Amino acid sequence: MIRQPDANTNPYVPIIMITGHTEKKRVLAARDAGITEILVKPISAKALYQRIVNVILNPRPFVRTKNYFGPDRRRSLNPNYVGGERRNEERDPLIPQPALEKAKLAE
Amino acid sequence: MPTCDGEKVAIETFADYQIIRPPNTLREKVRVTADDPVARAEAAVAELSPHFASWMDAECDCLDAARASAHASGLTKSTAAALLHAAHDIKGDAATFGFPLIAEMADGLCRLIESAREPSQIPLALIDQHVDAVRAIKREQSGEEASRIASRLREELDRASAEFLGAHESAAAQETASPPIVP
Repeated sequence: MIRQPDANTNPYVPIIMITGHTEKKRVLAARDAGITEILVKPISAKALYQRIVNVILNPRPFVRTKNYFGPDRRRSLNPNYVGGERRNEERDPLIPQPALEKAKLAE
Repeated sequence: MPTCDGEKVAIETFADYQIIRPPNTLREKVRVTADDPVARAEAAVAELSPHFASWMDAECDCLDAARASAHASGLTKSTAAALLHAAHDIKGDAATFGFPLIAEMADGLCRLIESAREPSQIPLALIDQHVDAVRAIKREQSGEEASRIASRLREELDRASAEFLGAHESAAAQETASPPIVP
């Protein structure tokens, strides 16, 4: 519930998620919930340190769309990309986030 | 204009999205020290390492208890969840504790429970075989022969799980590791 653009707490706080869930579906869901970095267990001190350094030295801008608020999920620009604009939510909807939807309804 | 830590946040507005650049307040708060923080963290983990085997035993006990509940009450939603929880804990911790083969075995059990459309249909014997394998690997600990047998056991259990899941039209999950910082 940190990633609420109008929350009283700092909605831009970096979130480094450490998880044993390795299913791609869950990792993508976490990304679409607005986490900054994800580490899949087992983790090493070096891997965690690199993420912390990255969060501090290379912060990504935040993106706010109709259905997403969080760090830019594009970490690099691909000059060879020729597809459509995927920020168009109607054409390319996000993975549904039941927990977030529920929270929005409860507001 | 929204603020972050009392500083203004720069917002660019486009047709259907906004790009927001909050001030990097963390950078100002970081203190640079001469020592190597990774080495310090690794030393702290090494100090804890004498406890790893007993922590692994405690997690194996939890898995055993979950198995016993499944036997007593059958594979219900709650006993299957308890088994998955215990196996998931082991999957996440075992490699850190120095038991990568146990992590693999627990991963197999997690996949079996998570991929089954009807966990209540999973044969208890297949659950038992996974739990017993976890226990056996912990007991034998290490050695080339033990590793070879454990790998073979894992293959056989994976095959048996795949057979069961295949017969029950499972939706096997695609696995991934930590994504790189910059793809």
